[in-house]
Amino acid sequence: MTRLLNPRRWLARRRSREAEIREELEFHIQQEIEEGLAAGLNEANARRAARRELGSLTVIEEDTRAAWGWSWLERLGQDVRYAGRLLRRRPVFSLAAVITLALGMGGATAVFSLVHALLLRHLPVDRPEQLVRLIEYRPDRAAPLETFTVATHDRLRPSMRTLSGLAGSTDSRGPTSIEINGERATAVVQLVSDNYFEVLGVPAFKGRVFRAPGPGLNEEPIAVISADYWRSRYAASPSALGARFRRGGREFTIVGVAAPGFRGTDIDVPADIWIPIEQVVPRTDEDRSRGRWMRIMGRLAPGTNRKQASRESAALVGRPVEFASGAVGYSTLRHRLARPLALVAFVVALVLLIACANLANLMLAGMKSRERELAVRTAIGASRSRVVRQLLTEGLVLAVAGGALAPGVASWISGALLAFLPPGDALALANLRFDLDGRVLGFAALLTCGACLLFALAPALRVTAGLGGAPDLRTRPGGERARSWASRGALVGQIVMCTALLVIAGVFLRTLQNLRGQDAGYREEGLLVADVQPPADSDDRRDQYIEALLARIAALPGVAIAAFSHIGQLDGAIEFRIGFPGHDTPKDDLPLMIEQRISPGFLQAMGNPVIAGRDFAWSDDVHAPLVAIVNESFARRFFPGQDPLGGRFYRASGTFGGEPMTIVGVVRDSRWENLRHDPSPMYYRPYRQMGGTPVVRFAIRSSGDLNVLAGQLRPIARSIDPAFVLTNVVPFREIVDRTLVIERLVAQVSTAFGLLALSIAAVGLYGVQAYSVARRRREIGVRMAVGARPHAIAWMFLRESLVLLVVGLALGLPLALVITRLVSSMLFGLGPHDPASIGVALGVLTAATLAAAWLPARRAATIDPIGALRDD
Amino acid sequence: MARAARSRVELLQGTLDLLILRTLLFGPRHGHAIAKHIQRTSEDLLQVETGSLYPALHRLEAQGWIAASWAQSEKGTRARYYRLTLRGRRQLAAARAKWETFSRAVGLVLRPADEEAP
Repeated sequence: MTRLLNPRRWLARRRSREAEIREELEFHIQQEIEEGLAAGLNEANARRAARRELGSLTVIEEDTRAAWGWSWLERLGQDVRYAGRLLRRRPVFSLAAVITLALGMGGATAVFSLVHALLLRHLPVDRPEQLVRLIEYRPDRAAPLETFTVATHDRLRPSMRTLSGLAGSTDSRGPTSIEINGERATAVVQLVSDNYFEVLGVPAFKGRVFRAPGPGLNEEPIAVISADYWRSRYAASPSALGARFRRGGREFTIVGVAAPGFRGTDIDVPADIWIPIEQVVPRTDEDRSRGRWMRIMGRLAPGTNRKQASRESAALVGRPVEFASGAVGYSTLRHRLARPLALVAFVVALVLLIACANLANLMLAGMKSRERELAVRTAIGASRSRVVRQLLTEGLVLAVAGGALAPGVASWISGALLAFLPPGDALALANLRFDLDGRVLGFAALLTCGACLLFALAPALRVTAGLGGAPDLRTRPGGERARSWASRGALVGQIVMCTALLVIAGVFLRTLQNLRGQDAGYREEGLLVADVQPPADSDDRRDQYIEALLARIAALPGVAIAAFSHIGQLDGAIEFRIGFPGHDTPKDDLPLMIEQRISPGFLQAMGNPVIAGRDFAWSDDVHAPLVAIVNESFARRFFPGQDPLGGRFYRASGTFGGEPMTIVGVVRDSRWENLRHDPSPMYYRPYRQMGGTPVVRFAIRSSGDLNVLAGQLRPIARSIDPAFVLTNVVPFREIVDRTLVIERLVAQVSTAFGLLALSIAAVGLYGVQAYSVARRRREIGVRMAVGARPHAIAWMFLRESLVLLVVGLALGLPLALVITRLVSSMLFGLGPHDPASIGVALGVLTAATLAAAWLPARRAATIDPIGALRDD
Repeated sequence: MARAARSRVELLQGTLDLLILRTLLFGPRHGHAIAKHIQRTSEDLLQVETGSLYPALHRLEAQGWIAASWAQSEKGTRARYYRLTLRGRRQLAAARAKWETFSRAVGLVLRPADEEAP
């Protein structure tokens, strides 16, 4: 084995051994000749006798080398060189093969790297397989809850015997604002229990991590930062230890840097800073039993399992909580992307299979023309296994060439897939980005071998099975042999898979079209939005700041209306319980309604003007009577058959809770939460009467260029106050796009890969047919000579392709329908058997197949019979 | 070549190794000489094929039972001489004992039939 480890020395030794054997045999021949001479033969006869005696020198040389047991490698080298020569002779075929393989394998590798990052990769902690995370199934929810009150953590931590440790961390809600040396910065800050690093087994890289018992409220606040944050924010400087930052009015001192690679237990939101929770929420704080915002992770004690731990925790908490595996950490993206990712994986696998089937077919066709060569090789003593090995090596050379490009292609495809991630999930990129680690590399290598076997072994076995030696030498190459079943099977297989791919693409394109084309209660063109955050220190004058900016923007040329709402359309909604004066409904039975706080003109800006009554005015402020605008669903539900204008209702809690509002207007329904759900009943309130969040979303309708307008907003805001923060300044169209991430992802991926697969299959069919026409030139000549019409010849070839197409469609359609039924919950506005999208898919497929089959058929029809017969 | 028309005996699988080792007991020889020696001492009954001889020699060398070195032949050209190693000697003894047992056993089985034949 050590011989193999040093290739150069191994090669040198091999060369010298080869020379030695040759010299040794040379000496042997010399001896024989001399013996012959001594026996009275002349020199020429003696030499001939000696050679005869010896037999084939090369065989002996090879056998002798085989005694040393390393000749398989050498033979592989020979085969690879030979295969390389053959492939260079067919550059177009080879290039097409390598490119399609690289795309197929690159796509598969990219998807695998995502699946790996989201579903398989263990957290970089000590023995991650021992970790468990607490979850709770609720009858009203599909996915289990992963967050608990801190009190649950406090209850479980000292009592659990089946766990060797239990730690909590806040669920990450994205970056928060901190202050470093008076400068504002954003970082993902996680509050964690003081034993967090101990339970996970994450050591400090620099300084120290905190341990239980952690510092309390009255001690010097400390924090640990991640190695990545240390590098990006502190340039990996040792002075970061002891540096301070402010968060929520307290000054924290950095005491350590966690082990590199560790970014917390949340895949979606890699943490930058960890703070012991007791420093922010002391043990006696009532927040500890209010609100579920803590994730609880434990480490199984030796000899215990998840079931025992689940039973113990359920008994302690008194609710049906249980432990799930925690090795791969937390991720909401995992749940959201699981199905689209599975679909994309399926699509990519189909494309790879099509590429392989196509390649197998082309190799098969190529081997047909090499039957003579192969027969000769068999006749001069090459064993079948030797020939199969040679053919496999050709496949391997192609596969390895494609496989070598695969990581590059994968990185590109992965980038394209991740570009779909909305900005809100952008933090997860740090964990999802294509990373060529051992497992991904192993997957690519495995794929290469698998693909090679798939497209090279079958043709090799098929071709060599028919090699009888002599008979094959007698028949001329290109004998009238019907195209093999293997080749037809491969073509049908490609059509089946293309059908599936194109139908998937079709239903998702239609879904996207339906979602976009529906009347969602807004007009997305000509609408720009921006998230506006007034200066932080302006709490009492926030509304003045916002309205000042609004007035400046409304005055810009081209701007028709500028308005704002406290939460943007399609960005979510807040619900409150509402009640009606005169009805004594218990508070908990009051209906939950979506409330939106908007400025005057907002409804008009969104393209959804009031249809009855009036819009809000700036005079609807805290000094005026409370008013509301409701949508049609609200009116239908609470004022059936009556005029809702003048009706009164109140919000059950919060500011002005219980004070009745008067309905002054009605608007049409519009989709607030997302594009799939039917609009719910909701009401709007004037922003001036309610106030809102620290950020509002501007909606600006303009007849001018939105990009130009977008560029003007920030300078204006800065001229009012440099501390104005504007984010998400984008056309509303993009907000709509962000809500359709998964639909767009699946539609675009399946369309792109579907068309790629279709072109691979079409080119493959064309190649096989063109080749068949060329081989059957003589037959065509004979047929024409005895009176066959050109169109009959063309039909003869076209018919073959049509049969393949019909069989392929007949098998592919049911497969496609099974798939669309599996994904039917991802569709919108169409059933899984949508005739329009299936019809379009089949039409495209038929057109491409016909085009690919027509060209060779036409060439067959134009063959000159005299020429064809004379050439032979 | 004047070769006797007597029928030759096919070498039994594995016996070539034994014969080579035995031949080398008399001292280092090159491949050709080994073949000739086996041929001569078997009164031309055993014909060693070159195609089997050299692979066998290299196999034995790879196993460490014989060692090879280049030396001047009696004709003055360079030849590859093989000699028995200590391990080869031990192997020869073992193989020889095995062969003798085997040949005695085969002889025992065959003898009664021979006696009945006349």
